[in-house]
Amino acid sequence: MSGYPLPIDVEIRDGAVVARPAGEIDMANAGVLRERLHAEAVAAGAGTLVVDLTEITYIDSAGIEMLFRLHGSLDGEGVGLVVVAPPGSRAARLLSLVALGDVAEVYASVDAAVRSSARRPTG
Amino acid sequence: VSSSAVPGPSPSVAAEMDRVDWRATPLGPPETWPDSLRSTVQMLLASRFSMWMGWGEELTFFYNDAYAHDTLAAKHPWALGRAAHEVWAEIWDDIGPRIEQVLSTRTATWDEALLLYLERAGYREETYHTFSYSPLTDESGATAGMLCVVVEETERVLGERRLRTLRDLATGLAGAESEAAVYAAVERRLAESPLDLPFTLTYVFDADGGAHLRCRTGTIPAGVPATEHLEAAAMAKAWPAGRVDLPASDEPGAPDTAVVLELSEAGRARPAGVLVAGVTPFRELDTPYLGFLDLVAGQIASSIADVRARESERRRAEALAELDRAKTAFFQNVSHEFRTPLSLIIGPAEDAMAQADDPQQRERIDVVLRNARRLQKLVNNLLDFSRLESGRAEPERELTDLAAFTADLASMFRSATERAGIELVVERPDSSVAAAVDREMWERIVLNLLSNAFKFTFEGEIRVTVVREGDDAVLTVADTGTGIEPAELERLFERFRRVRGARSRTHEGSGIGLALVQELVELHEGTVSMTSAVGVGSTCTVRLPLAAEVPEPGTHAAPTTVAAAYVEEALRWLPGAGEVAAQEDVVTPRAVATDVPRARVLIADDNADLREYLTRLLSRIWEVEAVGDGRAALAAVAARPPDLILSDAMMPELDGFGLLAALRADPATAQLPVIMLSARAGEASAVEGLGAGADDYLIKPFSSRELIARVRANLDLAELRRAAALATERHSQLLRDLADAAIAINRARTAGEVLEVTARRARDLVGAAWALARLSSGGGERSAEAGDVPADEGQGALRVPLSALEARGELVLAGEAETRGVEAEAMLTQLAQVASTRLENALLYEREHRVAETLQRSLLPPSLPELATGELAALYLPGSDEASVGGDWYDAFAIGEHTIALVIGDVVGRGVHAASTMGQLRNAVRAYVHEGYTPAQTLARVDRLLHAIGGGFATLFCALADLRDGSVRYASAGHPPPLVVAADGSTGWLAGGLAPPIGAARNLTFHDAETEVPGGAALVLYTDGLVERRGESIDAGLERLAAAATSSPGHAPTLAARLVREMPEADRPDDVAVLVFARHGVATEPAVVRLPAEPGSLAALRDRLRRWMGDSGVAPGPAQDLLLAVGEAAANAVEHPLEPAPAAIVVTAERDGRDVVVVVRDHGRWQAAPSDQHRGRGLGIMRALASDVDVRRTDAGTFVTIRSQLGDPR
Repeated sequence: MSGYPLPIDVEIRDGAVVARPAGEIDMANAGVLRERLHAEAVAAGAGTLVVDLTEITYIDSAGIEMLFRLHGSLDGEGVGLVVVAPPGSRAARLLSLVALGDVAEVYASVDAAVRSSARRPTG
Repeated sequence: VSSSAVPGPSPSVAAEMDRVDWRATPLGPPETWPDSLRSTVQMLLASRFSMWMGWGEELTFFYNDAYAHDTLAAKHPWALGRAAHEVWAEIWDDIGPRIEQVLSTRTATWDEALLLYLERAGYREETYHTFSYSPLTDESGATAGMLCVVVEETERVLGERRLRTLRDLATGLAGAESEAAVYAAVERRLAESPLDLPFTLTYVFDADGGAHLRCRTGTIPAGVPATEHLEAAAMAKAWPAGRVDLPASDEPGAPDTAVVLELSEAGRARPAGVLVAGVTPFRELDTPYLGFLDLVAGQIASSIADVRARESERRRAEALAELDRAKTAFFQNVSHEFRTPLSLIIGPAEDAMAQADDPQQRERIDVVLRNARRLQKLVNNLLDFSRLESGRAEPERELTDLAAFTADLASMFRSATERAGIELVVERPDSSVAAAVDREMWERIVLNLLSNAFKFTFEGEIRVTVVREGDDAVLTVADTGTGIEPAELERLFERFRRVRGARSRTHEGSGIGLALVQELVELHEGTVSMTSAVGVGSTCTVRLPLAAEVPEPGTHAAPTTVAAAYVEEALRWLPGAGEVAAQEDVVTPRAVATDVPRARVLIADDNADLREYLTRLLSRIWEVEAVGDGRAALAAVAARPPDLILSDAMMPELDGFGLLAALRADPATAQLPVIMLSARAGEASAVEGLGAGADDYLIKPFSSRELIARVRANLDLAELRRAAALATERHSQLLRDLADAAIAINRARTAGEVLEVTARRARDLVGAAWALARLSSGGGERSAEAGDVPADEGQGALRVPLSALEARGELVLAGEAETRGVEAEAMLTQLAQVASTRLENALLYEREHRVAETLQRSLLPPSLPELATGELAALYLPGSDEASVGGDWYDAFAIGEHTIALVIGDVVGRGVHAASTMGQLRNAVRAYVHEGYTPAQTLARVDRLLHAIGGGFATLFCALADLRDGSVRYASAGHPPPLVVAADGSTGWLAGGLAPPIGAARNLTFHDAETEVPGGAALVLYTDGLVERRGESIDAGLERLAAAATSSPGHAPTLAARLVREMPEADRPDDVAVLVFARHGVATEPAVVRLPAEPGSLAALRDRLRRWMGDSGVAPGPAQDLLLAVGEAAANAVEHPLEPAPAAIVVTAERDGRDVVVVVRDHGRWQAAPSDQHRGRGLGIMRALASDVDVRRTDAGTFVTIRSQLGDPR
C-alpha cells in the first residue's frame, strides 16, 4: 500500500501552497511523494510549500530524506519549504529524534506555518 | 356467500397504508407500533378473507382489500386509520355494544345475517352481514383491539326474501277463484313485504281504458296520488310505465321513487292493468330488484288472466255439459224412434220371406232383413248404452236355465265357426244351471263374449262351458286365439277399450262390447274376469249367483233376433264376406332400453276414446296411467306421483284447472309438469292455460308427433328444474353447514384444536370417508385426522391449501368426496379460509411468548465491542418452558477509550412484561454509566427507577473494567457472584459489593468493590439459570460452575460455550445469560515474518507486527515506537545488502519477560561504509527508540536485534 501514491490535499493560502498527504511514508513511496510535492509547488508559482504531516500515520528516515531532497529541488526554483508536525503526531515524534536543521522550519499548525511564510521575503 | 369472487391480493389497501398520516392517529407512526400490532396488520392485509380490525383506545381502523371491496365501497380509503366509531357511526348503536363485550369479556361474538344500515354508497343502505368479533392482545397479554371477520350476505338475504315473497304470492294466488280473490290475495301478500315493497298500488283497466284501484299496500307517501278511479288520460299521466319520481317527503325512509309495471301477459295486446311499486330508499334499484318487481307484476298479471280464463272456461264447460245432456236425450229419443220403425220393417220382411218362393224375391228380402237387423243391433247398443249411462237400466229377471239357454245361443255361432274352420265346443252339465237373469241381457253377455272370441281366433277352438261352482253359475268362454298382453288385460273391461295391435278379424267395433258385458254382469250381482296368454288364447269367466229354485221344464228361453244379428255380423268378418278390414295402423315396437326406468305420464281425460288413444300413443315411450277425471288424477298422484300430467281442461268431478290449482297448492306437487289439453282453439286459450300454471298447452286436435315432442320437452325441462332445485337446496344446506363449521372453528383456541375441528367439519361437510388437516410452521408439522386416514392418503385425495401467517398446510380429504358435487370444493376452500384465519389467530396466540422472547433478544446487544487487549463473548439461552420468557439480559459497552462496562441482570417474572422491564433497566444502566456514575451509584439510581416504573424485582451486576491494567470496579444487587478464571485455570468469586436485589426494598445502599482481572484471565458474568437446578442448593451449582472452568480460559467464546455445555441441561427452569470478558495474556508464540527484500514489503511487515503487538498486550504508544525502530532496521535490510542477495528478510518478534525482542535478519552483508547520512540516521533512530540495539554481521547475513522494554505484560 505504501507503494502507491498517497492522497494529497492541496490549497493555496496567503501565497503559500499547503499540501497535506495522508497515510504512511516509507522508502516505497517517498520518491513519488517528493516529485508530486515539488510539482504542486512549482505549478502554483508560490513562494513557499507548506507540507502538512498531520495526517501521516507512519513516517521513518525515508521520509526525512525525502524532505531533505525536496528542499534541495525547491531551492533551485526559489521556493521555501515549511513543515507542519503537530505535537503527538508520528511526524513530531520522528522530528524529535532527527533534526531537519536548515532544511525546513517546523511548525505545530498550518496557521503558524502560513503566517511565518507570509513574513518571509520571497525571491 | 361470494367469497370465491373476492379479488386476489391487490396493493390498494397496502398502498393506502403509506398515505395515511399515522402521526395524527393515537397509534403514531408505524415505526413505533408494537410487533403485535404490526404482525396483526400484516396478517390482515395478507388475508383474502374480508376482515377489519380496531387497535388501541380509539380502535383505529384497519382492513384488507376484500373488506374494502365487499363492504366499505366508497368509504375506502377514507376509513383507513380512523376511529372505528367514526367509520361506522351509522351502525355504532348495533356493533358498539358487541365490540364492548368482546373487549371486556375477551370472548368472541358471532352474528349471522345481521341487518345493518350502512352509508357507504351515498345512501343509507340495507345490508346483511355475518360476522365474528374476536379480541386482539398485545405483547403484555392485555386486550389491545379486536378483529372482525365478516361475510356480506346482503345478496343472499335479499334474494331469499324476494323469493319468499314471490312464493307466498304464488301460493296466495293459486287458490283464488275470482278476480276479487286475486286482488285480496295480492293485497295481503304484498303487504307482507314492506322492505322490498314499501307501498304498492294495483290498478286494473276497464274496457274503456280507465283504471280502478284494486289493491293498495304499505304506507303511501304523502303527495302520492292513490285515486280510486282514473280516466284513461289521467292514468297515463299519473302512472306512465317505467320509473317515476315521487314528490319529496320529510318522512324518514319514505320512498322517493316508484316503478310502474304493466300487468301484461304474453300474447295479449293490452295489459290488464299496472302495478305501482314504491322503491325502498335503502336499496339501489338494481337489476335484481327490478327483476323481482317484474316477477311480482308478472304473477299478478297471470293470476288475473288465469282467473278470467277459468271463469270463461267454466262457462264453456257448463254449456258443454248441457250440450252433453241434450245429446244423450237426443240419442235416447232417436234410438227409440228408430226401434219402432225397424220392428215394423223386420216383422213384415220376415213374413214376406217365409212366403216368398221366387229366389230373386227372397234375395231382395234377405238384403232388407240383414241390413234392418244390423241397424237394429246398432240402435239397441246405443240405446243400451245410453240407458246404462243414465243409470236407468233395470234387469227384468226371469228364472232361466243358463246351461240350456247358453248352449242354444252358442250353437247359433256354429255356422260361423264352421265356415272359419275352427271348432265350437259347448259343455254343459246334465242338470240345469238356474239363475234369475234378464234373458235379453244374458243373451248379450254370451253373444258379446262369443263374438269377441271369434274375432280373435283363427284356428283351434272356442269352448263354451256352463257349470255350477258352489253358489255360482259359471260361464266360461275360452278360445285359442291371439291372446291379450297382460298390460292390456286389466283394462280390458273399460268402456271403449279395444285391443289393438293384436291380430283380429276386424278392427270394427265400438269398443264397448266387454264394457257392456261387465256392466250387464254387474247388474246381476255377478263378476267377470279375463285371463289370457299371448299366442295361447283367452278365457273369460262370468259368475252369477245361482237361483234357489229350478225352472219349470217348459220355461226354456229362446234366442231373440238379436242373436241372429251377432252371428250375421260375425259371418261378415270372414274372408269373402264382401267387406275388407281396414288396415290397422301399426304400432311401432317399443325401442326403449328396458333397464332405464321410464318416465311416468298420467293422463286425465274423461273421454275414454281419447284416453285410450293417448295411452296407446305415449306408452310406446313412457309408462302411462290414465284416469277419467281430475279427482282420480289427484288420487293417482297421491298413490304414485307421475313425472308429468297430461290433463284435459274439461272434465267431470274436478276439471283441469281445479286439478292444476290443487297440484300447485301442494308443495310436493307444485313443480310437477302439467300439459293441458283443450278443445278450445286460439292463442288466447293457450295463454290462459299457461297463466293458470300449466307448463304447456295443447289444442285439440293435435298431431301425435307434436304431443310426444311437448311431453318429451316438458319432462326434460322438469328434470333440469329438479336437478337445479336439488343443487340449490344442496347449496343452501352446504352454506348452513359451512356457517356451522365456521362457528365451530372460530371457537377453537389452539392451532391444534383448529386443525382438529377443521378436519372433522370438512369431512362432514362433504361426506368424505376421512379428512386430514395439517400445518407446517417453524420447521415442525402439526396435523389432525378425522376418520381413518389410509397410509397412502395421496391417492386421488382432494386437497385444499391452508395458510396462516407464514405457516402453510393443507386440508386433505378422501378422494371419493364428491357426494356434494362441485360446490364441495368451493365450500372446502371457504372452510379452509375460515380455518386459516382462525389458525392465524391461534398461531399469534401461541406466538405471544415467542414475541416476548424476540423482544428480549432484541434488547440484548446485537454485537459486543471489539477490544484491543481482550475479548468479549456472550450467550443467551431461552428457558425450557416455552410458554414464558424470562427477563435475563446482559450488556457490554465501552466508556471512553480504556474502560468497558459489563452488566448482567435478571428481572424476576416472565413474559412480555418482564421483557419490557428488562429493556427499561438496560437503558437506564447504560445512561447512568455513561453519565459517569460508579457501579454502586448506578445501581442505586436504577433501584429508584424500578420503584418509579411500578415496581418489580431484579438482580443486577455492574462492573467497569480498565482495559489497560485489568482493574475492575463493581457492585452487585443480589446477583450470583461472577467468576474469575485465572490464566492457570484457578478460579475465584467476586463476592464483594453485594446488596439486595433492586426493587426489594426502599432506600437500599450499594457499595463499590474493586478487583483485578490479570492478563490471560477471564471474568465470567452469568444469570442464575446457569447454576440453579431444581432440588439442589445454589452452592452446589456454584461449585459445579467453578469445576467446569478448570483449565485456562483461552478464547472467550470457547469458555462461554464450555461453561454452558458442562452444566446439566435437564431441569433448567430458567433462561440463561452468560457474559465473558477475557484479557489477553502474554502471547506465547513469537511472530516470524518472512518477506521479499523489497520496499513494498515494509507496509506488510508493519501490519503483521501491529497485530502481534496487540495480541501481546503491548500498549499503543510503545508499539508505535517499536514499529518505527523495526521499520528502520527492515529498510536497511531491504536497501543495503550487496551480495549475495537472496531477496528475503526474516523478522522474528517475541516477548521476553517485560521486553519485546525483534530480530531483523537479511542474507547479505551491509556495505562496509555508509555512503550517505541515511543509514546512520536510521540506526540513530533505532538506538533512540529501543533500550538496546545490536547489529551483528555474519557470513550468513546481518542480524539486527532490537530490545524494547514495555513494562509488565497484562
